[in-house]
Amino acid sequence: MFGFYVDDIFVVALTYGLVTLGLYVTLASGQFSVAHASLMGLGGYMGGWATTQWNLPFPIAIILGGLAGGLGGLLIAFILQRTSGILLGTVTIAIGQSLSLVAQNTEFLGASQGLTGIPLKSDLPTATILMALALTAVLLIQRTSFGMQVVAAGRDETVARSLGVSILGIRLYGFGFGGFLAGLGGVLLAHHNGVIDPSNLSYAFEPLFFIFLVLGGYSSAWGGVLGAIGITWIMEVLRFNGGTFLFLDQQDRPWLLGLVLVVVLIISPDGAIRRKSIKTSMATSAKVG
Amino acid sequence: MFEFVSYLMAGLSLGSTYVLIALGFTLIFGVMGIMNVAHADVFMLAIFTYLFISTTLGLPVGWALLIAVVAGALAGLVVYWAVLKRIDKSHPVALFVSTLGVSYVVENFIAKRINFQRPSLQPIFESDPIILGGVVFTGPRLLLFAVTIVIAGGLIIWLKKSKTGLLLRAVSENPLMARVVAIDTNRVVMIAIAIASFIAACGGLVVGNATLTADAFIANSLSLKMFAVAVVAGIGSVGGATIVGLSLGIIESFTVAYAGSQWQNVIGLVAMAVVLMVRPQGLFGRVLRVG
Repeated sequence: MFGFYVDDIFVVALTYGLVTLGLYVTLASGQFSVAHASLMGLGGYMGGWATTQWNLPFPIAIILGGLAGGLGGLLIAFILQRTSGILLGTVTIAIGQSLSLVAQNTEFLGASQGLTGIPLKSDLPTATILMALALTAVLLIQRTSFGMQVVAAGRDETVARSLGVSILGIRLYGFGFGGFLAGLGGVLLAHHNGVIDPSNLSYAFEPLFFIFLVLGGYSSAWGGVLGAIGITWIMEVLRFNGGTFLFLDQQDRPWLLGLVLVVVLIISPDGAIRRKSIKTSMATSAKVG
Repeated sequence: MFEFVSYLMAGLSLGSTYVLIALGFTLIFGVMGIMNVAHADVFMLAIFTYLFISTTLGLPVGWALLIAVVAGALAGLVVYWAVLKRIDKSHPVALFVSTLGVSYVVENFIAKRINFQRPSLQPIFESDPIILGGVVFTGPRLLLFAVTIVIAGGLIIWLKKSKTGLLLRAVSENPLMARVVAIDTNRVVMIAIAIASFIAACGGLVVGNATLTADAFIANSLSLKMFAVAVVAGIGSVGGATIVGLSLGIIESFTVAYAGSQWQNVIGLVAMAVVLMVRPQGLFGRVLRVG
């Protein structure tokens, strides 16, 4: 659309945006997940397998990959239904890490090489359509009464339960739908790089999505998406504009980004860009009064 | 029989690694109520400090060891002082993500400095293998196991008998009440972090002595075991972490021997999932502090 290079960056940005949106959906349902990179990888493996081994058309591979991610998410939510908060986050790290190690040791998945020779089918129109559909779905669900239940459960599980909200249902939705979106991102990633390997599943990837989400702000669905697109662009522009800056070069980007994440969390734990929610506006008025 | 004993030995040294890393993690959780993902990176920092001091600066091994252990303990304190202390406590997610961020920063920073290589280590302590009844006991493994037993035993006794240990347990039981009775919780937390990081640094050195490589991203695979041991044992339980860590090592070693290496990393996860479904507070845990 805008020439190969620009298209390419947008595809990557939208791919990351889908995963970050999935992470947002899960976090907004009151659950803490550090497994979205792995759910993305799960989708990538499934999608890659569908196009290379079963010779299925790309759209079906996308759906299958999304379903694989969603199923993985449902499984996590179901098994860990008695765990919540930070402990849940910690366990999901372990789940992601194990998935990566299992993929590394499984011969028919290509072991540490991963699945190779995946056709390069991800293009800007596909990525844009998927993102538009996903964002619309998330925003529409938020407007339904179920969406309000999700917000309630996300704010306070005990109160929500006392009001008759099915917590297990919310949790299954949060992880299932969040995992589905991450899986879609995974299929796009696999068909963009032409390969998916165990490192894509590992939690070494995970801080990246938190960086997108925190810098974009996690009080609305737009935040993570815009964060992913913006930061991917900044990273790419930094790469394009040459090798070194002072003593830094492009391999220094990961730790610099991590540093930005930590600094932003210290200054503003809700994320860099905040949308005033009912809770925060009430809190401020309470302080004034 | 010989095979059995040698797998057992391999399992014990593997388990010792898990214990040394999980002890500090569980201790920090006990007093602060946070999951410090960056804790496993102290382990790695100690090896790299040792490597830097002994090879690049060329100081004697004794000094390098001392500086590495002190640097490890300081690293833990610096992370606490610079990050954990400054983040709003009412945002547990922000706290957790910040530790994730710290570990990302530290790992990628160190990895970049060594150009994403895995430098190898000279053995720190030279020793001849001991052969007893046909089973070979190598020095580094015995040392690893001995250090683990000494540290875990020492920590348990210290927590039970010393005055500071008592304060530490008081803070972990009820931080608000501890402050009410005029315990300087900030100091206690710093002591706990220093001890936890010291243990991890010692662990890094004795494990480095056994594996002879320094990997900047070792925390990624190690933290999985750290969580598994702490969660299965019940978070905050030091004795439990020791038992569970050693058992996990032994079970993994036998799994690799009889079922294949692809299953090694699944056991910790399955154990964790089962424990969380059946007994969320862990095998040795009482009541969970954080939900």
